[in-house]
Amino acid sequence: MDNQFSENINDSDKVKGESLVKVTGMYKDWFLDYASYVILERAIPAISDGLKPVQRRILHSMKDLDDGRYNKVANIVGHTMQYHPHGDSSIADAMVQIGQKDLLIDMQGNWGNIFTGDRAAASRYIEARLTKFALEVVFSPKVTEWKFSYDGRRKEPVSLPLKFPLLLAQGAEGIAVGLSTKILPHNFNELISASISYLKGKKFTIYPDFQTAGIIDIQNYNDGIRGGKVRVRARISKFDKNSLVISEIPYGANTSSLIESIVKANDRGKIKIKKIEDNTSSEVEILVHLPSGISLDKTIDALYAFTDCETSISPLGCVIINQKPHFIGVSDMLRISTDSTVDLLKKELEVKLDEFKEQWHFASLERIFIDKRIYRLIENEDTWKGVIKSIEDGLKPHLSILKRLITEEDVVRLTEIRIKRISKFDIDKAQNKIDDLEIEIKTVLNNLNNLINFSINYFLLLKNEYGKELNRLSEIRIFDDVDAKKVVVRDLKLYVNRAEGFVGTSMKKDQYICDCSDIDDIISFTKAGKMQVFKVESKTFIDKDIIHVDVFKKKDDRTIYNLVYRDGKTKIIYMKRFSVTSVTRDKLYDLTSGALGSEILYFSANNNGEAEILTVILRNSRNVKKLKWDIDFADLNIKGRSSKGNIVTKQNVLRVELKEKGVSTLNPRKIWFDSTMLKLNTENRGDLIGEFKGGEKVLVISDVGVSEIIMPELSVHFESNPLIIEKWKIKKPITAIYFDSVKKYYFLKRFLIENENKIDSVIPEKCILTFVTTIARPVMKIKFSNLKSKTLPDLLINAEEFISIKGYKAIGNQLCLHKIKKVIITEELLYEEEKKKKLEELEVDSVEQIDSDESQIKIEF
Amino acid sequence: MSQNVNYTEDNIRSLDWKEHIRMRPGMYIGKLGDGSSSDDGIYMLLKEVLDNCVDEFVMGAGKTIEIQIKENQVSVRDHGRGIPLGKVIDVVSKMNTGGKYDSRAFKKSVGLNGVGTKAVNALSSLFVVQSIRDGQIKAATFNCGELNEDSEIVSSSARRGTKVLFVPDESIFKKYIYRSEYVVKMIKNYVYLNPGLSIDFNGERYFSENGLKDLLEDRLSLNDLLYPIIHLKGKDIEVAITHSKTQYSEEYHSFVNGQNTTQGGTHLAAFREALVKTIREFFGKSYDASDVRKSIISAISIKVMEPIFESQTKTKLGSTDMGAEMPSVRSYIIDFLGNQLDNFLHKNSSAADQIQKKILQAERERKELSGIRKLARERSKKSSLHNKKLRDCRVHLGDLNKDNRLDSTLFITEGDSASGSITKSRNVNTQAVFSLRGKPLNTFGMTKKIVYENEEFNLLQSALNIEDSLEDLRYNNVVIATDADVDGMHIRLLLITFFLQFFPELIKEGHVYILQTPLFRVRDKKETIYCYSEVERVKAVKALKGKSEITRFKGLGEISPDEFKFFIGDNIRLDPVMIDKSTTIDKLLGFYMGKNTQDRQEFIIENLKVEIDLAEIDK
Repeated sequence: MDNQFSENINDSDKVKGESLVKVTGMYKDWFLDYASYVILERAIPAISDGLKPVQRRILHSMKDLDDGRYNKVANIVGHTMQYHPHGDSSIADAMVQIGQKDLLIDMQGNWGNIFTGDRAAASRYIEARLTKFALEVVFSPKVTEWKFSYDGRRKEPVSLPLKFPLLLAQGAEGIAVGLSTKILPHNFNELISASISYLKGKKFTIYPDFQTAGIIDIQNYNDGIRGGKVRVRARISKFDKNSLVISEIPYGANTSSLIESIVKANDRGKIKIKKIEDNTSSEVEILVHLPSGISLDKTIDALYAFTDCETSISPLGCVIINQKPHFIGVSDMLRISTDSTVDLLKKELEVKLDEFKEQWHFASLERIFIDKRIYRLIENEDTWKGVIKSIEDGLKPHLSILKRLITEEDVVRLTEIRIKRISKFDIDKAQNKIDDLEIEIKTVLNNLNNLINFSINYFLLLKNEYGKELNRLSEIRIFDDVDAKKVVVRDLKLYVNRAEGFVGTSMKKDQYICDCSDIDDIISFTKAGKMQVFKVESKTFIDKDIIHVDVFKKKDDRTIYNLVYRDGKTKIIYMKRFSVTSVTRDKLYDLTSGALGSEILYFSANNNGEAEILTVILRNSRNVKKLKWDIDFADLNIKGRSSKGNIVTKQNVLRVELKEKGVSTLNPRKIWFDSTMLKLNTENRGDLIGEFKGGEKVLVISDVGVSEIIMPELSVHFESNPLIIEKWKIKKPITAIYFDSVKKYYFLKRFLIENENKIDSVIPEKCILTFVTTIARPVMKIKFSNLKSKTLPDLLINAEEFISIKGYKAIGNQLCLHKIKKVIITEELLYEEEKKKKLEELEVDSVEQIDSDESQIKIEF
Repeated sequence: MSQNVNYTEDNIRSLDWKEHIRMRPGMYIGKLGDGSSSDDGIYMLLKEVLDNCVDEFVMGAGKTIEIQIKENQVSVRDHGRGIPLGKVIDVVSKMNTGGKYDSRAFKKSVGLNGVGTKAVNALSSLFVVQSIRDGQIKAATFNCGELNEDSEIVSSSARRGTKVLFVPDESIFKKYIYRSEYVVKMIKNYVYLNPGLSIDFNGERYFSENGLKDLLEDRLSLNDLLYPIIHLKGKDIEVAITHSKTQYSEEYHSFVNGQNTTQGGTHLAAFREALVKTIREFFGKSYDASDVRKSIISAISIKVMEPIFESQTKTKLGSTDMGAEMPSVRSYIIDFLGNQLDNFLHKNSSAADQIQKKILQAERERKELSGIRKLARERSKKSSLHNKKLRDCRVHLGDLNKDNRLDSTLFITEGDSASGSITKSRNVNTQAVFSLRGKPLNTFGMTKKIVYENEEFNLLQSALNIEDSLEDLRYNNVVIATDADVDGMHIRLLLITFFLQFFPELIKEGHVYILQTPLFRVRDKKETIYCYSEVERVKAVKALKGKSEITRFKGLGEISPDEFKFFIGDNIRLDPVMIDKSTTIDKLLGFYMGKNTQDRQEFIIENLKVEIDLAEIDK
């Protein structure tokens, strides 16, 4: 033994030379070995079939073992190890992952639950076989390129001939060395449609679709290229007055992890919940019970802001093309996959064509052989050579009809025809078979010539055969940004020590201001006329003589500060009104001219722009007659924070005191409803639903006839587009037509919302709402569906005459029997609204840009 | 049961000098080896010859030495006084013959017992000596110590000096190759210790002006120096001192009479003591000794008359006295530093400030670590009772009286794949096994705390016994034995990163190796060939013609203990891990082990290694 060893080593040493690889070289070698392997052989899928090596080997093994019956996963894993020299558990895990995508593997037993995160049973329990779909699109041995397995004992595919964009359907994720990939799953049917569009030369775009459904915002998907972003939300709806239900979870989460994140947010005090329970069965259902008095709408927003109910996924398309990683988008992946599908279809057709041609060739040869009785020529020959020769000679005169020359192989095959076949030979039948083959060849040739159409038909076939139940699961919607500060639970208390100038949450002995949260910003004003905004801390020193402290609300233009100050230099008294919408954090702003000795004489913060009347009292002075007069802030325009203000007096003021509280001078708030986001807004998106003053509410009637009166708050969530959403006028009657499916009759009713706190159906149970309007006195034309070719005349109804306003629960009057096709409002009779106290509505400039350069610096967080 | 053993006069043998050397080479040159380690015998041969040349230089004769190594043939030429022509043969072939017994002539040399060249002669398959002096030349040729050719003295115009040419005997040094890196390192040490001497190696000239200062500069990157190197010289003593910015541990290079005492000894102990004493006194504070010495990088060289070493290989000094009428080694060094270093610090306040800052920082870090250290101590108490990851060997590097202590080896193995078979097939005298479980942590960017927190690292540290310094290192060779697959490569990266981060001197001193194991076994019914690369495999398949069975070793677990015996036995293949100066350790680790960067991504994509499926090409 020893000798053999030494010889061998000698050889290699000569190759090696005398210099040594240094540590930098070692690092480079080892690192590249490892990185290359992990990239090419472990973590990143190949573009050609969309599979990582372990997945490819699993599928190949399943095909090896495929006999139509289920196989134990452990057996498949063992078989896979012939190609994949790694641990069994990693193979089993990879297989379960493929299975859970529910596309290629037909699963038997407990394969785990993607919703709850429950793991699959051990691989010795569960069973698998390939789905019909997998057999159709994944394998095609005749057009597969093969390589030897790692030990050279077996053949395995270099790449599986996938005739479907599997990578995009299943998605892929992998962390390699130095790079990673994250390709999101897409919808089966949408992918096929996109492939077809591409083949037709049309544009296409594809968006992700997740098994866990949820709501997704794909505005920044960016074709799945690095830098893109998809936001995913759980579907949360109101279950009852005090609880929410989560019925779909975001991609990447499971119910356990989601609940954990909610409990954590609760522990950190970001949200407030009473109890959370997991009622998931085949469908996700997580019930979130809230303590009474907590807003459902705010909690939904808070769940999005502070828990995994909203997650952001950053796709990063990286695939192996020609043994190198490439960063490409999903459209490119689809194009490459579609091209490769067309190519594979072509190759399959070519293989088929060759086979048909070969069959045709031999069938024709056989026909000649038997029909022309060439077999008889053999009888006289006694050598094998002679036999072959005689057949060849016998065939010679008839060969012109063949498409290719005959080979010795052909002749040998002829000698193997059985006597029985010759004696029972039916020339017509043989000719039929040849004719059939000719038709087949023609079809294949035709397909080859119209390859694109053939491919499109192939894709359509896939769609019809397998895509029926694969509808889009994730709803695409544009998300509004949840302002975390607006929805956070305020579990801290803010205190102030005015004299010494401290503000904070830990100073329990000092004056309590309000509740706040740890993410809030605080605004403070001092007597010297300095204002600043800062993050809430346990204790912050501002400056002595704090006159006002509050939680700062960004972009709040409803809170108006009214103040009177004396300029330190000129001693002139000014008054001004302003709002603070955006500032730089921790920067000190002057509200006065900034001159030393300036002082605020009067200050008020008004949540809704109220303007009060003040009395100015001067010091006694000989040359001044009028020592006391009133000033009204309502006379003053609202300007920016750095405006100087209007001069009140140049005299020496004794004091300024409040005479009378005032009302708001601000315009009512205009509110719009955005039907894509299903949210209210003040930014002119969607349909204007009205101008709202304090206390005014919104009437909502859903498509199934449930009415609700809500506050016009921007945080309200709608589950679907309502039929009616408008400013609620208490005395304005609502008219509804509905079909009673028990009585088989249409009814018309007019009513008012009687209890604004009740969410209830406007129509009786088991009835279907046909039409509803809030026009007070409508005249309607009712068109009927055609009845057995008989056209019914339209019915003209004046609602007011038809029925008077009744109770909310009244059933109304019977209207008609026939099926209503359409209701059209033909006329709106004049409706005089009840008289309202007309307020003196002052025209005010809302936030006005002031020339000062620093007045409106964007707040930097 | 017991055999009748004859013990008669026939059993008593008197060995010829060369027979004795060839039978017990370890006694003369340490270990044998194949040249993959810097202390392998073939380098000792070169050193023995060089020592004589350097001694000539020290005596003021001949400033240039020329060395040529070509295909195992080594020639060394000095321009010294030349061996007296009449005694040329005696000097290289008669025991106890030499010109250095009279310590007046060579009082401060190392090789004065007159064994050196004889050992080289006896262990070389070809040995030629030439001496030129007074216009005459005398040459002699030997084969394994046997005189082959004895030329007449003839006249010559060549410059005076001695030339020795030898080829180490392949029957003793199996499959050896001279690694130029190790030769260069040895040459550098010579020139650093002998400023003015220039050595020409295969056409490359090595020369040093500043002695030990050059040595430190060569070992370090300039960015890593906390302050410029302090370089002090005295009669019979030279020291160079600096602190590293990044290195945790202490690093010392010590020399006695030009001999690199890799294991220190009395002079180094005195140096360390003197350093702490001087610095403490300078600052007037009783800093902890470990804080003073933390991150220190230094070199000391002394000349001692008739030095005594604790081992034949002269790697640890045992002398307590300088010799003649000089004081003891300890008080000599303490006095020197106490005077010279103190003066220097007074003159260079910025260096003194830097040192103080470093000491305070070390103190802070030590205190931070103290809690975790305490915990680790308790654990290490347990591990000193029994280190559960370690299967120890009998002989350790510190056992100075054991011949084979330089063979002491620790195999660090990956998981269960190999520790079982290495344990079973090892030589329990010198080979120990430490088994890792799974992949170790990536320690890049971590603080030394992790060495204490991570149990595996802590046990490894205690197995090597290198917590404070390399002085008590228990194994001469630390061999990383991972699978030859990609995950094995990854583990190598992680382990070397660990050593480079926290114990760089272990690598700098050349203690760390990678075990090469075969990738393939190609066999037919008659023959089995183990192949270490694809090239060898293709060759083996050809050699076996017919149908051969190829087994690819994916992991060490596939190699049975019987086979392993061969891979870790005499023919063990080791790749030494050596630091080069092409990049700094920080940069190296930052690039490969740090965060993902665009640069690295591009580097990977550009240099991607694609495995070609040879099986397919073959067929």
